[in-house]
Amino acid sequence: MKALCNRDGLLAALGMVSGVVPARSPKPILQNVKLVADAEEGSTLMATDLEVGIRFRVLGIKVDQPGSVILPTVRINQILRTSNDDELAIETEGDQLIVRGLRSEFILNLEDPDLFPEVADFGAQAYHSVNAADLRKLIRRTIFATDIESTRYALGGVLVELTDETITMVGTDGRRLARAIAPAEAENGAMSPTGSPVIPVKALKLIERNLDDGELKVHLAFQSGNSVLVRTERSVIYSKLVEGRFPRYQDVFPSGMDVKIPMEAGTLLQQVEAASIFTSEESRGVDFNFSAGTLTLKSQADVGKSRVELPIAYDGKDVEITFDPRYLSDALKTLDPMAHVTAELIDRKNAAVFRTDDQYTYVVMPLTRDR
Amino acid sequence: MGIIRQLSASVINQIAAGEVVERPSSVVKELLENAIDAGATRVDVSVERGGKDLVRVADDGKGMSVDDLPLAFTPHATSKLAEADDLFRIATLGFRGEALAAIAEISRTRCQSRSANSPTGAEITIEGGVAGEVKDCGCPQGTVIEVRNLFFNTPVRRTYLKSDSTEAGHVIEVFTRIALAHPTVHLTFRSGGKTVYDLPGVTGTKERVAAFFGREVADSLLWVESEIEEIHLWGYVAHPAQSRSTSKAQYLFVGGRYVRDRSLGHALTEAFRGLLMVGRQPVAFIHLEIPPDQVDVNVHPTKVEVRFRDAQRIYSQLLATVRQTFLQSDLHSRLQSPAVPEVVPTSPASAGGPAPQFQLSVPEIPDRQAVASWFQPSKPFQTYPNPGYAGGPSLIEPKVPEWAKSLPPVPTPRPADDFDEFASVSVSPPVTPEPSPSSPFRLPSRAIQVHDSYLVAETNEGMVVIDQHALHERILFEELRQRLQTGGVESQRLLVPEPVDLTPAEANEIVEHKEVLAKLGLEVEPFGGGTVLVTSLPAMLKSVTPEGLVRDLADHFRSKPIPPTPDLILQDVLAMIACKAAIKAGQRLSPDEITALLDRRHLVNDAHHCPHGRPTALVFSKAELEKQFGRI
Repeated sequence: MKALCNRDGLLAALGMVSGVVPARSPKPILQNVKLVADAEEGSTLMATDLEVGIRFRVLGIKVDQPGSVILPTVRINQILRTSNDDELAIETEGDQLIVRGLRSEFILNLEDPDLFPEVADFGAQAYHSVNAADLRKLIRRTIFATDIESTRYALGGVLVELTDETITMVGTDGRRLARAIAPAEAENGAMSPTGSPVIPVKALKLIERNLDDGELKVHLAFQSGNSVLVRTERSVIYSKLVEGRFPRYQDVFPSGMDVKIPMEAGTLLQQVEAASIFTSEESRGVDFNFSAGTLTLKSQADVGKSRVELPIAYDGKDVEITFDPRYLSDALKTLDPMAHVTAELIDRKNAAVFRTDDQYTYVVMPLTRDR
Repeated sequence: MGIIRQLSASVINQIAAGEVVERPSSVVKELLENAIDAGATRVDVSVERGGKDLVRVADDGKGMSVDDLPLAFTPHATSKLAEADDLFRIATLGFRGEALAAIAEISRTRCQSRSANSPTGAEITIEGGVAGEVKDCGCPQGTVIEVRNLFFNTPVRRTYLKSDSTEAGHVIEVFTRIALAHPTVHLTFRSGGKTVYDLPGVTGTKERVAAFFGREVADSLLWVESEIEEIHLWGYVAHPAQSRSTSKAQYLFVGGRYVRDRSLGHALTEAFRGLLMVGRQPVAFIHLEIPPDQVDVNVHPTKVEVRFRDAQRIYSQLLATVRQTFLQSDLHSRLQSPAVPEVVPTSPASAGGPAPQFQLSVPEIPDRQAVASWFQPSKPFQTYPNPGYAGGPSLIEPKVPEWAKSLPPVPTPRPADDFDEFASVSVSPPVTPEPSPSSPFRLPSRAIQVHDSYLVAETNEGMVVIDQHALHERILFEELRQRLQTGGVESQRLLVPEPVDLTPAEANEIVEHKEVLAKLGLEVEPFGGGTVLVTSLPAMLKSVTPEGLVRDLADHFRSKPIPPTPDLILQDVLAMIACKAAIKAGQRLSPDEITALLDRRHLVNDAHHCPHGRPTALVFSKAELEKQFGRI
């Protein structure tokens, strides 16, 4: 193989894929990335830890002789960072890999590129397509609510439900649940995936980094219930799904909510954060007191107390409820500060629901305390 | 001819003897008790071959007259009891009138005795229950009983005797019990011609403890005492640094009689909860004075078991008294350097290594303020959460027996050593700003972390090595406990109740303790069979799965010998929570964190031990340092 690479382009690509590279692994070859140089199809940088894999299209590579090489992630990263050349030549010579700049040369041992595990490519003809911006929003609004530690349920990821018209993503850790819905299209007669596919957090983070806010479409294809492939503009991301059962989340949406309070996300977030200054690990609750015209937030810890007020458009009965403020701010942070949020409550013992106008629903269980 | 026949008196006696006399030590016990009951001030015990060949007990008690002698060795003959009602007011150690007869039945026994007002003594010899003539003899006032060839006519029993040294061990144990219970009596013990113990009459148990268990144990004893409605409890418990692997070093005396009692043993263990490591047993010497009508000693032929009329009350009293003592005491372990100074490298780090010459012990110098506060008026009991103890105890005018009154050597606190040479030499403080040295011990002014696990801090009286995990755990534990007392614990409800599968028995335990668990923020519902539903979790528990928590709790409940009280469950769960939340050994702390941790040290009652009973800190006093470096 012989190719001339644009340094910035390769560095950017390496930055994108190296998140997948495991820090330590029983298979040492996984600690490398694989570069496939091909003038016609475009050059690709790949990395995988066997659970999650990524193929990322590298820009700015002039291929002299096509071929593929294994690049040690850490060293190549250092070479690219320390070099001040615009372009670096990468070529193989005998059993050596040579990276050459204008005034520098690095010689590495060559490894057999065929030993690198195959990173699945997007081969599906039938798939669902979603706006990149929408998918990004969905991931950001659900990923924080997951629970990687859970052993009983598959909570270490986000549940994805696809229909011909919508994509629904649900994340929960058993204490709060976030559900976001966006439009989707089934291409070439794609079927809804069977079972309840849960994409692991690590893959979601990778996908999110590969998305931008454009109108470009992202393609999703689920393979036989145990893996998912996502194709974005420049990358294909493969991930195994989280094994296990996702709880029947539909059951947690309470019914009979008679208290509905409209609020503005940004203001609420600000006041929640102010109120949570005086909380601690052992005393983390913030009391929310909804009364006619005013929401009062109170918290108390060993070091002090806080009390903040917020005018609200509400004139119903008083409702008092205690939340872990972090649960609220987690969700509010993902919203547009001007967005309208409606809090729906029953009483201090039952779940509270927060809804936005763009089909985002967030259910939080309250804290209770013997008083 | 029928198959049932009346046994001869001799056989009956032999059978009865089996109950009372199990081994030579039983003979020693009976004879010693008789001697004590006879008001002896000096008793000499000697045994040969562990008592198999000879047990000889000589006392200077009131003695017996010529007429008494033959009668003393017939069954159910006694001077200590006249009618059945007397059983309710037994003030002597013996009373059944069985022992001497039983012993005489299975040995060759010779008895010499002279009472004070008789000019000559009398002597009787009994071989296997057959009494010889009563003869006159010359002897000092008192009684001498020699028991030879025990079990010579019951070969079966003889074959079950253990080796001489084992039997001698049993005899010594019996001797120990009586010597501890009656410190005013001069006791000697000879075995195989050698004097093993010569214990002059003393005024306190402490000296006796020193003789039997060593000076170290004796010096670590803490006085405990309380009197509630006629039940007077007093004695010593050893510092938690002194522990044993069995409960054998727990001596409980009721009315001067050694007894074993499971529930009181348990009370003791409970009182030491959190101060001893798992599997270790406390050392204690506790006397109980109970009105005779409150306790039945006539339960067992050898009277090692007794029945209390109100066992629960005594349980609570013992528990509360010992706990109270601990709360008032400074229980810091001391890092004691070995006796010979030149052998030693005394870097604190080597204490962590395999250096057995370091041992935890309490100091010989009673210069700690806490020791001096032994007899300060008690804090009110309410400060300690012990629901089992409803009635307010009165600690006014406890009736200590006469000899015990002069007893506890109340140490006068020595003025704090003002030697300041090191202060100027010592390395400049690496981390913390100087906190106000208001309390001499609690606030170390500078600290460094070693091996990411221990904090070495300077104190006004030396230095202290702190186990960071153990200390943090204890602090969290106390904070949680306080929080629990002042207000509720936050409970995070679950969106979907989480089922946890247990065995039916475990599930029952969990459901039974539902209310207590709910107080902690853990709400469970029975779900049929062995399944329970967890509907909410304590909010402060971050990384604990409901399943793990419930399982641990179920295990915990099931491993308890007696049903745990709500208080204890709370304490256990708190300990569990604290352990999981505390910083671990091997975790690097920033200077700020170290300061914060040490600053919170004084906030807790029991800073010296983590909830599992490991010590949190080793103290290395300045005097010891100076000694090691040859400065003094």
